[in-house]
Parts: sequence; structure tokens; C-alpha cells
Amino acid sequence: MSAFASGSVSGFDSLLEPGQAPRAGHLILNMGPQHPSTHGVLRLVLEIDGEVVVRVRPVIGYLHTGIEKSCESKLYQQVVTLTDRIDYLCPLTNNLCYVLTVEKLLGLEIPRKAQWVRVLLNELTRINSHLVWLGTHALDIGAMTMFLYTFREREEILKIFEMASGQRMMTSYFRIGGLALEPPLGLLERVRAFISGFSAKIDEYETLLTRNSIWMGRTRGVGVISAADAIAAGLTGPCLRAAGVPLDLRKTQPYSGYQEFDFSVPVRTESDVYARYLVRLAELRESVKIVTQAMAGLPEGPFKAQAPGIVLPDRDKMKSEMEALIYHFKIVTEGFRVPAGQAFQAVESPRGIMSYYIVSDGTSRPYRVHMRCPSYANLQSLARMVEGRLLADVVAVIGSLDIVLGETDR
Amino acid sequence: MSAEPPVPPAPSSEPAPPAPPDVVARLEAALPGALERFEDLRGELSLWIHSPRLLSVLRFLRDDPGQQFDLLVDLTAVDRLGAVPRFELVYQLYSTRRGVWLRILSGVEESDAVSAPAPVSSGPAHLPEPIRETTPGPGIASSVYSLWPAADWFEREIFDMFGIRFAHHPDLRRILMPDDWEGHPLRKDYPVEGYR
Amino acid sequence: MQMPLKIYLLIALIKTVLSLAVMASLIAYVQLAERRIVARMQSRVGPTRVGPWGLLQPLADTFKLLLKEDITPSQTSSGLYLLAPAISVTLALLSIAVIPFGPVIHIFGYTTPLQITNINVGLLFILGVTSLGVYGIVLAGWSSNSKYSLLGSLRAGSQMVSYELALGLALVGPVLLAGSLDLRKIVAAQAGGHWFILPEIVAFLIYLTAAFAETNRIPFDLPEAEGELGAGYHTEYSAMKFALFFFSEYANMITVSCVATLVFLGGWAGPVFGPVWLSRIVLPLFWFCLKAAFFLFLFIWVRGTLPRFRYDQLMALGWKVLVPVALANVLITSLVVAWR
Repeated sequence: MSAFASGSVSGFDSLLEPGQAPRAGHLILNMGPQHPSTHGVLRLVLEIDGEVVVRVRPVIGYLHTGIEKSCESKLYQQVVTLTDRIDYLCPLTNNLCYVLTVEKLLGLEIPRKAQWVRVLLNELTRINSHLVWLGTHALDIGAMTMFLYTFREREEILKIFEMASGQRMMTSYFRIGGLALEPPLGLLERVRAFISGFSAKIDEYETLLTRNSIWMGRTRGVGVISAADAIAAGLTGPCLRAAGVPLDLRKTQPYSGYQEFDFSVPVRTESDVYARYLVRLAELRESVKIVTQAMAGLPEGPFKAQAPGIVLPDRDKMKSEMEALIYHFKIVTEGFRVPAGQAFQAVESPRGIMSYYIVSDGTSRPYRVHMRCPSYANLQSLARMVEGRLLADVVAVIGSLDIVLGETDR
Repeated sequence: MSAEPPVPPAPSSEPAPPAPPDVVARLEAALPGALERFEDLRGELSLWIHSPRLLSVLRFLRDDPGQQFDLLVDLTAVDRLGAVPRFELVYQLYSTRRGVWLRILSGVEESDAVSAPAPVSSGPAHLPEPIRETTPGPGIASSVYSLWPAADWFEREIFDMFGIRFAHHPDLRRILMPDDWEGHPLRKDYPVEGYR
Repeated sequence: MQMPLKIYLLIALIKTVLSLAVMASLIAYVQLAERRIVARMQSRVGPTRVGPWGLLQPLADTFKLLLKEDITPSQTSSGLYLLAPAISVTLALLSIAVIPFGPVIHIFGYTTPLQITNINVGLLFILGVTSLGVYGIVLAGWSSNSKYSLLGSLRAGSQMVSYELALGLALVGPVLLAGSLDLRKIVAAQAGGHWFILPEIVAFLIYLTAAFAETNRIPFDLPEAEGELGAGYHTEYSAMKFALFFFSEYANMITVSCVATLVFLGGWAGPVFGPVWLSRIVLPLFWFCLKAAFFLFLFIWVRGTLPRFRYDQLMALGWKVLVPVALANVLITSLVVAWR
């Protein structure tokens, strides 16, 4: 029973507020789910008075694929591939968060080398994600060239991912107990080649935008939200740090060895679109620092935990040892049992706090997997930021929130 | 409660308040009888709260100067089909000032009423009327929207996926599934494949 | 030297056909140049597949647009919906009628200006015609019966009206200096390298800014801001009707570039040498095209660099900065002219 079937072509008017018609003279504008600046299939129902946005109502769910439900019927290790599909701009962060949660349930000790490679790739993922954000955000505001510059650099990161995992985007490289494969030879050289030139690229982005008066005019004082409101509304990540709250889980609740790295948490206090832009650009530079450190101090050792029955055995052992072959067969066919209980792990994704909550009933399939996705929570603040402002600001604020619809809808 | 994750330094510039006194003891003192049980496992503290007292406990945790759990990070539910109460609400709280996590769990009983599809209004709008419950009961929990506006969409999602309704939620409608969807997909008696 | 009417008409016809053909291919190739240049700025290559260096790409695009299904949405006001692109493109092409490309030439014993027709208020004519162009856009947005189109055309309407004013006022300075609205006389007044860009630098900058707004180019492309309004006023247009809007945007770009060349950069003036055909025809045309191409390149360059203004900022810039400064410029220029 769609709006059109029921005969009311402008049926989305009612989406604004059930039972409340728009004021006389106001226009209802349906923005999305097919719209160039909603970053996917976000749909916004706007009540506008001329160019001024009076009310905004996000409508989501167009990309809902029931991932949480699917997880319940998959083996623990099979869920990793599903997590890639949630936030397709930072699949490795999702991988990391999921495997950390399961490893917590299993009580697994992860070798340092695996942890460091995880950090390294996770920070490259952050750079990747921020590059997509910067490109699309600038494109929304009309700076088209930026988009192609950032995608030029992103391409190099995707090639690094492909080198490590065999996949450009849906990497599934982190596995429960370690990594899927030994990091290939030459990976570090590739990363080094990219990272050494990347700071200059950030400078290049900054020359195009940071002091550009049109850019500043479009972003300063736009989409302001107070720190208290932001926390109450569940806003996290760069948007919260731009509001003056230095909450970065990599610092406050280190995971996967982040406590061993030296980096700072960029914070601004203006809490507008421009501050979020500056915070993310500074984060790019911090990520470069972390990647550099991770490369310099990458420990030697195994890349997966000593946990037969959970971690797949090496190929050559399977050909010489019967136990390895049996374990391999058992893991692949029936998975491994995870002790009953519940675990929660939060990580700092490029967009904010991403967390997984897993309930195990002692079988080899999770009883319940829930992802807290930063885009989902952050998008709630949109109305607070844009109501009373101009139509063009909606686009700027959506860009600054950096939402990924795969993540909001799951 | 000693097994909190190692060294959560206070993120703000002001000096960290002293390590939290035992939140369980403080809670017992402030709201006796609200705590059902607690579990401290793998560095994660979980408190089970009797559902009628949930809202006051959460308000205490948010407002008490010794607790300051100001960020509702996550809110979800678990369907423990066969158990009583059937559903469990899970609140993940975080204190941005103290850098501490806390999990609050509370049961919601199953109600026969919630199994029915959401009522569809006959008016011009194709949407169901907003559900405005006022009292918690079977199938109905208290909304924490008044404490954390962040709960808005989390509670809508729980309604969508589990059919649990929230009293005093401003706009309880489906969020991820289509408005005219029947059933609540994350319930355990909802099939993974095929049509319901 | 009275020319027989038949010859006069023949020459006029030849010039009209030539100008239109040149204009049409110029529009196509400006667009190709834009794609190639912007691609270069964005570390891409741009279209290279059709013909050598992609030179046949405009042809392919035209064929594609001609062969596409011509969709008219069901709820449009059909008459105006069809009329709007026609108005846009007609008015955009009309203004080249009075633009002189070169000096008066003598050919086969006849004397004719390198221009379709010369009228003594040429500049006024151009301003008038380009102002009318807004009708095409407003009607397109209104008749499409779509909210995005409507918003786009409202923006276009207010933007063009505001910036038309600054544009016109900026041109008053040079007109005062030349003492004529005749484009040939304005060019003649700049003879000997006394280009108006030097005394009228303020007017030039205002003209340039307003010209960007007038042609709906970045950073003033709000009527079709794809980030906000889909495609703005031409959201509901497809195939050749869309192409006509596209066509008129580039035609307008060429027109304002030509006007800037004539009024501020001395028209076709430049070093000339060699035999008569070279020094009287080819070189002046070359200089004229070079100067106009510089402006066209500027349009493209800016598109590759700048973000887009917001609606209120655009209005503020127009009314609070450009118009007062242009007025002051007119005042000072007239005082100086009166003093002389």
C-alpha cells in the first residue's frame, strides 16, 4: 500500500509529522532516495519556506538487508564477510570490531604482529574513508576537482588492500584469531611509497579549500550543535570532537595495541561544518603518523593466534599433520563453539563509535549480533543542525556528518 | 568492579575524578531494590535492572555526579525465546568524563498484543498512527528519549525489529522496514528465509 | 559606394550562416575544451575515444542527444514547456548578430564589417537580449511542474535580475569613456593600446564576476546546483530539449567573453603585419579569438577550482558589494569624463 497506490501522489507529505500538515505557503520537498547529495539512498522530507528549511525528516531503510538477522544463521567466521558490507567505506574497521568482540568472548590472545598489521590497515582504512568523505563533501559544495584528487589517492589505498587481502573493498582480511593471510612481501614498501607522498597531498587539498573564502563562507557557522546536545543525541566521532569533546576510543579505551602508538586527537570547539572539516583533515595527518609508526616498529612473529580449533591451520601443516587436517575440516564444516555469554566491543571508526554486541548461546553460531553504527546515531542530529537554515546548508551538513547508508540501514 | 578496562584516562582536560566507587553499591544505596543482579565478566560490567525501576536507574546513572554516564552509545534488544521475560533490552552507557563503560539490561515481557501487525489508519496517510503508550507493561518498555534524545532511532529500531513498544516515545514508527511490513524480523520465531 | 540590395542581402546571408555555423561548432568545441581542460586539472584525460584526440566527441554527443527518447513529463504545461528551451537558445544566439569580430573589410570591391549587422546601440541590444534569456529559464522551471525545477528557476530569476544590474552598471564606465553604445566605436576608442581594462579595472572585475553569475557558471551555478536541486530548472528536460539549454549556456558564455573582449580588451586590436589579407582580416580575427578564448578558459579554470556560493551569499555579494561598487565606479568615471 504505497503512497501512489492509495491515490495520493504527494503521499510523502504525511511523512513529515503524522497528522500534521505543513503550514500554508510552505513547500514539502522530497529529497532522495535518489539525489546526488544524500550519499546513497538517504531520503529527506523537507518542509521549506522559500529557501529556508523549517523541518526535516530523514527516512532511512532503503538499503536494509537484514544483516543482523543473517548473522544469526551464519557460523562465527562467516559473519566477517557480512561486516564488510555494513560500512563499505571502512570494511576493515568493521572486520576489526567484530573479530575483537568474538575474540573477547573466546578469550583469545592475539599476537602482536597481527595487532600491528590490524592497526596499520585500520588507519589506512580511516584515510580511505576520510578521502571519500572529503571528495564527496567538496563535490556537494561545488568543488568538483577535489573529488577526483581524493579518489586518485584512494585508488592507491585500494590497491594496497587488494595486495593484502585480494579484494579492493570487501576485504574480510581480519579473521577471528588474527589475519587471513600473512601480509605479502612488498606490502610495506607499497604503503611507505604511498604514505611518504601523502602529506604533500593533504597540503594540496588544503590549498584548494582551507583558506578559500567561498568554502569558508559555506561551512563556517553552519550546522552548529552544542557539545551537550551532541552527546545527548549520541553524536560521536569527528563531529563530536569538532564540538570540543576529545572522545576518541583509540586514546580513551585503547584496543588492538593502540596504546603503543603516539598520536594526538585533533579537537576544535566551533562545532560547525568547517570545524569538522579541519578535524578530519588533522586526523588524516594523525593517521599518517600512526601508519608510519606501525611500519617502523612492525614486530616479527606469527600473524595468527595459537588456537587450534578456532584459527585455520597453515596449508603446509595440513599436508603433513593429521590434526591440522581434522581441525581444518571441523572449522570449515561446523565452525567452532564460542562460550555462552555476551560481549561488547567499541572501536573508533572514521565516523564515530562503532560497536558490536554479541550474545552467544554456546553454539557455533551467534545468538544475536548487534552493530551500533555511527552513521545511524549521527544522522539523528541532522534535524537539530539544519532546521531554520537554508536548503544549501542541508547538503553541507549531510556532507559534514559523513554518513554511509550501508551502515545506517544495515 | 576492579576489572574495568586498563587505564581509561579522562579525556577532558580537567583532572580525572577519582576512580569510580563501586557503581553497584552506589546504586543500591540510591535506589534500593532496583538492581536484580550484576555480572562483571571480561572487564564488562552488566547490571540487570527490574524493569519498573529502569528509568529512574538510568536517570541516576546519567545525573549522579559520581556516575555521569552521559552518552547512550547503544540500545538494542535480545529475543530470548522461551525465557521469561522473553525480551531483554540492552543499554550500553559510556561516560565521556570518566571514560567508563556500563551495560544495563532489563527484561520486557512478551505481550500478545504486540504480535499483531501495527494498526493501519484508514485516513489519507498510508502510515500507521503513531503509537502513544503511556505506561510500561507487557510488550511495552519506558522510553529513555527524555534522558537521551539519541534513543529516538534506537527505540524505533527495536520496535521495528522486535515489536517492543516504548511508552512516551515521541514518534514510534518503523524505521528500517517498510511501514506496511508485517511481523518483526529479529524475533527468533521469524524465519531467516522465505516469507513469514 | 551604395551596394545593390541583392548583394547586400547575399553578404548578410553569408555572414549569418557563417556566424551561426561557427557559433554552433564553437559551442560544441568550447564544451569539448572544457571537458579536456577540466579533466587535465583533475588528473584525468577526458574524452579521447571519438576521433583523433576526441575531436569528434561533440558530434557524437549531439547524435546521442538527437536520438534519445524525447520525454515530456505528464504534468507539464506543455506549450510553455516546449517553448522554454526555444526561448533560451534563440535569445542566446540572437546577441551574436551585433557582435563585431573584426574591422571593416574590403572584399571583391565591396565594403562590409566583420559582423552580421552593426547597430549604434549594440551594447544595449546585447544587454537587453541576454536579460530576456531569463524568461527561458523561469518558464522552464515553472512549466515543468516540479519542485526542484521551480526552486532552480526562482533562484535563476532572482540571480539574473540582481547580477544584470551589476553587469550593466559595470559596462557604463567604458561606455562613458568611449562616448558611445556602438561596439565598433567602443573598440575604436581603445585604438592604440588604450584598452579600457586599465582605467576601468574595477568595472572589469565587476563585469567578470557578474558574467559568471549571468551564465550560471560555478561559483554561481545555483540555478542548477546539482548538489541541492538535482539539475535545477532543467531537471525535467531530456534529449534535445535539454541540449538546447546546454547550448544556450555555452552561447551565453561566448557572448559575454566577446563583450568583455570588445569593451575591455580593445576588441581585435593587436600587432598586425604582412599583406592586406593578413593584416586586415586574419590577424585581427586571430587577436579577437585569442582574447575571447582567454575568457572562455577563465570560465573553465574557475569551474575546476572553486566551490559554489550559497543563495544568500550570492545575493549579498550582488547587492551589497557589486552594485554599490559599480555605482561608485560610474560616478567616478563620469566625473573624470566631465573634467576632461
